[in-house]
Amino acid sequence: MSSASDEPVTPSADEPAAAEPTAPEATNDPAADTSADHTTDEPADEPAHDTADDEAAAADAERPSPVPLRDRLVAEPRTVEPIADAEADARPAEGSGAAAAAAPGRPAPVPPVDPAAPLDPSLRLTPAEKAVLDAAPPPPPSRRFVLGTGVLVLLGIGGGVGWSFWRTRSRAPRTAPPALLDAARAERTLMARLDAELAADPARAPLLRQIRADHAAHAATLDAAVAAHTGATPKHEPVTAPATALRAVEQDAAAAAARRAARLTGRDAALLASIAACESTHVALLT
Amino acid sequence: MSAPGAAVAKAWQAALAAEHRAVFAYALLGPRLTTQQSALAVTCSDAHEQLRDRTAAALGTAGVPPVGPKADYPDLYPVADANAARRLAVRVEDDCAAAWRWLYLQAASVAAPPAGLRDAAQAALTASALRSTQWRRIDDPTHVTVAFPGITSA
Repeated sequence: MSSASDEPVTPSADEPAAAEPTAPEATNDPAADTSADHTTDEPADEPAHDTADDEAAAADAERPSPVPLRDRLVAEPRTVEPIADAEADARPAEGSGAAAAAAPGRPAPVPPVDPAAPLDPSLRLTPAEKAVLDAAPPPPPSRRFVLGTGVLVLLGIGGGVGWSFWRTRSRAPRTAPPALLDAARAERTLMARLDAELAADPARAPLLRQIRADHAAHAATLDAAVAAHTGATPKHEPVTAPATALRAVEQDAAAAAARRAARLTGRDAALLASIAACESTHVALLT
Repeated sequence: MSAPGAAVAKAWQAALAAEHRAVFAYALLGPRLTTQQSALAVTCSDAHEQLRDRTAAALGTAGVPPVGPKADYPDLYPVADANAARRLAVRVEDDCAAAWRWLYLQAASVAAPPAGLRDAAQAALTASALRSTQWRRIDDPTHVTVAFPGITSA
């Protein structure tokens, strides 16, 4: 086969020079001279593009403009963009290019900016730079925006959950245990019976009044217990006094209260248990 | 008998402790009473002793070591005369009623209390209320009853 295939492929010594469209000696442009000093740090194809732009910018700067430069600068918005290294190198440095050449690889010092000075035409964005900026993705959302959005989302979720919980609670069925309602009704029956007994037997009025006061306290407490379940004090229909003897009525009431207590739970049950014990004492007193 | 929960066991032990205290109290107040009232005190003391023994046995059956009596109950002193003795009897019965009502509440607040415990607590609460009423009837006939035994006292 050919000997060329055996040889290692090495770039020709002329290739880097061929990639350079212009040699520093070819022009007297100091910008081109500075650019050439930095070609060792950059890819081979980029200096070619920058050098062409630099030449166009230099020509543009030298060409007299029909509009005064100050008016153009006032009319155009001043935008301060990061200056590419190549552009910075292309600008004529203050002093001489020897300073930059003395420290290759180091960025050239940024000259102080005079706000009243006319804007350097070389700072204007080229169409290619504008296209790159337009095509660039939008900047990420700021931290404040993200935090604010998160707080709003959390407030919305919390409000929705609270509203749902409030509606659920407010619409829950509110009924009192039947045993509690029966006990409240029974106390009114006992009070009616005691009223009849008081009218019939005034001699026992002191004892009967004590017993009636107990039943009135029972009725009020039971109504409050019902209201704790329903949210409203129960309304009772008028009751008629039973014709049975008061002692028997109290005895039945005590047994019924104990049965109702056994059907209830918690505080309601303990309340009925206490009422049952009280009514048992009434039975003992009425003997 | 199923094992009680911690709250029920604690209330049950408190009821037993109240019965221990009542037995001690009747031994303390009995000598201050008249003959008629001493008979009532003996009846009440016997009832408390029986209830104490039944309660201790039930606790043991439920797997709860029953509490024992204290060596002394300083809060029961002094018992100077018959009036103080009757008032002490009312106080002791009200305390027992409160202890049994508390046990009833605890038993009514759990899903599966020991079988028969609520009935036993109801019976003991009623018995203490009855004894308290008997003592009140002697001590102050104008205030014989209590609307909510175990909850309020006269």
